[in-house]
Amino acid sequence: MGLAQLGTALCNNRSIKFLNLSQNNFRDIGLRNFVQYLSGPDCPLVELSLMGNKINNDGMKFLADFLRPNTSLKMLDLSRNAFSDIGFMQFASEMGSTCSLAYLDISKNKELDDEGSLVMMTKALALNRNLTTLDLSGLRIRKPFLKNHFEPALKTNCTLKYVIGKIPPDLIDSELKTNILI
Amino acid sequence: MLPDISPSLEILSEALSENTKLEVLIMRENKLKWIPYCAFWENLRPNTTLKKINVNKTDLSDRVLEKLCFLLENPNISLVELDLGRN
Repeated sequence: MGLAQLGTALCNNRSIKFLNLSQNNFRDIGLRNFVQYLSGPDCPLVELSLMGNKINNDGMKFLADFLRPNTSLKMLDLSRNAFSDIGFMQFASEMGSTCSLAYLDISKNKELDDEGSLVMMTKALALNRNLTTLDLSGLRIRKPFLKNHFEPALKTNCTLKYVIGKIPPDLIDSELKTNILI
Repeated sequence: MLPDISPSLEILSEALSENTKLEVLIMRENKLKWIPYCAFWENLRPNTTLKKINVNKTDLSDRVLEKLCFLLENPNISLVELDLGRN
């Protein structure tokens, strides 16, 4: 199915808020057009699922470009794709203060490393002011990462309430509980 | 063996081409051939009342998507939810 074609068709759409594009074998071809739609000033999309595609590192670089201009998207599912640290690094760095996402699912992207792009993500999280839920299930998350990067980021971050994944609760729960949604 | 619903599908799409009160159209996991599937979206093009379309797992090829895109390009549609998963 042509993602580029869909992106072009949606560019002038002002009504669609929920779009499910999961399990379509999308890689990077077509994502550039689709990102133009997501970056539009009047893009109305609130929830987007790209779960179970084959979005690679080049695709993630395109996706990183929409995070700053987009102000509507609240939920993004990128679970079970084909990107690794190189691709997620740029995306993660854009998750700073202007990112509107409240829910991000990057679960089951097994090539993400807690000494690589996930460290970059925690740096962005420290500045982020919208994310409330982060799904990290199926990723290799180790205690040194939580202690040295995640916990310090949560001391600055004031919105993240839920982190999904096999994470020892004693390490970050107290920081999450002090975050209050306004 | 499942009956061929293509003829009735054409009637349905012609009926839906005029604005109706129907807001939700779920056609997930159908096995429509591409020619009647294209004709269905072609006929549905003028519809502006549908709010939810689910065509999950329906072998939505590029040529079928092209026809669906005509509907999406209409600035007057009120579609809020579109499920194109597993195609």
